Amino acid sequence: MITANALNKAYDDVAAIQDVSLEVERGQTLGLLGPNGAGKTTLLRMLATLAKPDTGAITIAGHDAVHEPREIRRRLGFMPAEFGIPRDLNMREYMHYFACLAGLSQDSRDSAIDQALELTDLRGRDDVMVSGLSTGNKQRLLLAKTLIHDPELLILDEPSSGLDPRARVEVREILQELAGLGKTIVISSHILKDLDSICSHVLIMEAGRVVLAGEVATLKDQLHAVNRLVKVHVAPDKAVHAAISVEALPQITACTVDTDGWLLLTSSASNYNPVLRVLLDEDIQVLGMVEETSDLETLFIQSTKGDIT
Amino acid sequence: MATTGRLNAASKRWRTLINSPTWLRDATTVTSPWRLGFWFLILNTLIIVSLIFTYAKVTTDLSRYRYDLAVVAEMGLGRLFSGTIFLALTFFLTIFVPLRVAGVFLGPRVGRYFDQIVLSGITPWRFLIGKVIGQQAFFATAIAVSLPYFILCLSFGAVSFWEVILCATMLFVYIHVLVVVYLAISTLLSEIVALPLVIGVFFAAAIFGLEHLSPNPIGGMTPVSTILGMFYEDTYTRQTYTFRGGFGSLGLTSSNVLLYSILSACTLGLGSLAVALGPINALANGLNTFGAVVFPGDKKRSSWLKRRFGLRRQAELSFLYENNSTAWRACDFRRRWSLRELTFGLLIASALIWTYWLFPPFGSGFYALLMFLCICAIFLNIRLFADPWMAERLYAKRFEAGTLNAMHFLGNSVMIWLGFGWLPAFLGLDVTPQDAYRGSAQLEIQDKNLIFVTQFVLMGTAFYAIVRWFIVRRLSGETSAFLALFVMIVLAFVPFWVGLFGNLITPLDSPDHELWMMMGFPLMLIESIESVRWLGYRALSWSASFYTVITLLFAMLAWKRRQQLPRRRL
Repeated sequence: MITANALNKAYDDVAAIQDVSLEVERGQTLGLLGPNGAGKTTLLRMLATLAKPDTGAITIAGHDAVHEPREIRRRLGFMPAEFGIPRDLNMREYMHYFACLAGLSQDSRDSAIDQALELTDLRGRDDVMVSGLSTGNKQRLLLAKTLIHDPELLILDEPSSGLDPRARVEVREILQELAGLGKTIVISSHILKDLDSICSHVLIMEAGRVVLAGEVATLKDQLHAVNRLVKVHVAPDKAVHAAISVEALPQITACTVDTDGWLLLTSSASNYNPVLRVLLDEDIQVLGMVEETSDLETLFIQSTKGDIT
Repeated sequence: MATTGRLNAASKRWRTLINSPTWLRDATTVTSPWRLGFWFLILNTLIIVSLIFTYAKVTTDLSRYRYDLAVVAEMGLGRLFSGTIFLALTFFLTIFVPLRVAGVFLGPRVGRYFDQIVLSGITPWRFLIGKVIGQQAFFATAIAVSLPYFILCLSFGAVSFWEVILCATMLFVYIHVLVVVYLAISTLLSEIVALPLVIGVFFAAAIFGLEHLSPNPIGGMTPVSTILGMFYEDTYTRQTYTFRGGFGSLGLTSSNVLLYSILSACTLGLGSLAVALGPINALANGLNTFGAVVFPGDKKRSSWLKRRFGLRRQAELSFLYENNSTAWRACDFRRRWSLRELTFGLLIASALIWTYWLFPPFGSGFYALLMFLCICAIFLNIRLFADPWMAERLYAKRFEAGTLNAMHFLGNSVMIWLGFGWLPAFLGLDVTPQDAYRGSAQLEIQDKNLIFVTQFVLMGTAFYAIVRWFIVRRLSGETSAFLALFVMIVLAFVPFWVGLFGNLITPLDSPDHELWMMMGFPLMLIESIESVRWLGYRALSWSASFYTVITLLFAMLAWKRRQQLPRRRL
């Protein structure tokens, strides 16, 4: 569905995107991760034909994004992070306006609006003025507007930004439903837990470059195979001593101690007997031991250093 | 069968075109009770004030000039009042139609949803046609509001239903001119400039139409002159006292309304062409991001100077114009490349037709077009004809945008100089304004015509250089192309005032008088060609030297201060 090759984009002397390539198959959900200033929004805007790459090429559904933007825009639903709303419109009028923009005929407009509002749980509030909506409902409405022409591809920039936990869960559920409908989705978000449950693939960026990309499950497995996070509970007064002893083991790549007396170990091997042996030799009582599973947060933290463009 | 299919397809395309979201938005505002009441109040006030004013003026004049007694006696109260109402309507529409069209781009941009409009894939035509339909509805509302007055006028007698229809037709054409000219200017320059510019120019033209200055091509831009024909048609005062012959003082007849419509159709055609072509993508694509644009030195600039309304807007508009069909976009280069020559050719041809066929007794058609084109092309620097092919190649060489503008500007000027300066003289055409020259001065006017155009070109170039220097010195080189044009228009009238002022304060035979007149020479002609008749070739050499020095000086200063655009990456 999307192929991008060696994209570069600079604003004056600031390189926002450097040599970024990606591929998204039809029906995939790609999560874009990265610290602030990593170039996520610029990349999304280039995919949405709102910015043109300085070099490199983007092909969406077989059309070149620079030379055939119109063909792409017809297939695209873009939800920006920051958006405006025409004043003095109620929800129905707002949806009518965008349905008309999308070129839906008068006959099909009402049913399309109903479907989009239904999907976003906004049905039945047609007369509510848009300007009076809560942030969560505004996000839903924008999503409904994005869906009105039934696009094949959805590009969503921070759809959960500014939402309370309940609204976030609701938006997440809507996105899961959309992914279930077979839509191709590219989404950026700071809320990694949301992405973890939605995305099949992930692309992590930093300072305009891709630092990690691939299928989420595979990446997690790879990370788990290389770096396993193990939490060992010892008596708090012996925690520091335990940490010094364990850190000397070759399989332990990092070791920290938290305030409750838990040792947080990153192990490159799955056999933890050497750890236990060292602790027993030092006469340190092991109160508990847990192996943490890898998640997107772990992937993100381990892949990025916090650099920005 | 095939014909039916084609008809159905055409009908579907038409329905899609008029199914404009802009009209969807406008419909509620045109028909909302509050707005209807507002228009009603404004229009009624205007009509009543105009009626009182006209009546007071006529009764005052009655005591002074016996001729006007004949005017009123012949025209009747119904005619006087209906003419006044139509004049009030003209001024009302001149102000409110551009105001209502304003914001077609600015509204979504300020409201931050223009990107959503662009991404909907809507074509510029379908987006903008809604504004045209909206103004038609607005016009219908204005006519409906003033309908009781017309019924009253008809009951007074002396005015026919047909005359009312003719005036309404002209106004209907006129609102389209206002809308299309506004959209064309706002597409190519900036809405912030377009609004005062369009209102100001057409308002001034309406005043010129009222005043009957001679020669008066500007007055012909609005239907005022023809509506005014209601007041004097078939009265002997036309020949003797108030009104002079020439375009702009025509009677209210079907043929003159048709003529006005044809001439307006030219403006509509050119305006539509400008709207269809849109901004110069080759330049706008340099800022190939929707939204923020950063330039060197921005960190040091105040936030106001970083905004660049003009260029950012053009860049964003070019994204909207990408929604035109692929076939249309593929021909973009050829259209722009050939249009300048084609348009100038057509205008020269139509000027000849106008001069020889439509206005044989006046002989001022060519002159009128010449004036109009000089003002448009030189002082507005018509970007419509700029050549993106050349711009793209020069852009890649890091030419400054202002230099490109200057090149387009000079290109247009040379075209005018050759076409309107030399051609009439070469062909021995009569470009004489009827009431300005008579008899033996026929040959002299051809030389004057050349002088006149040459001076326009020189003066325009000088002003362009001054303004460019000011802009690049005080602001960013790319900040305010629209500001440059705005200032240029303001400056263009300085010599006009200097000339007029000089004319008033100095004796006619003093050398100073001649000096002032030379400086203000070209624009003085708008007021009256008679006043500079005696100047001859000395004016050309003097002002040519003057404006050349100014051009060189400020061009050098602007070049020294130039800012190059960032290199475009393709």
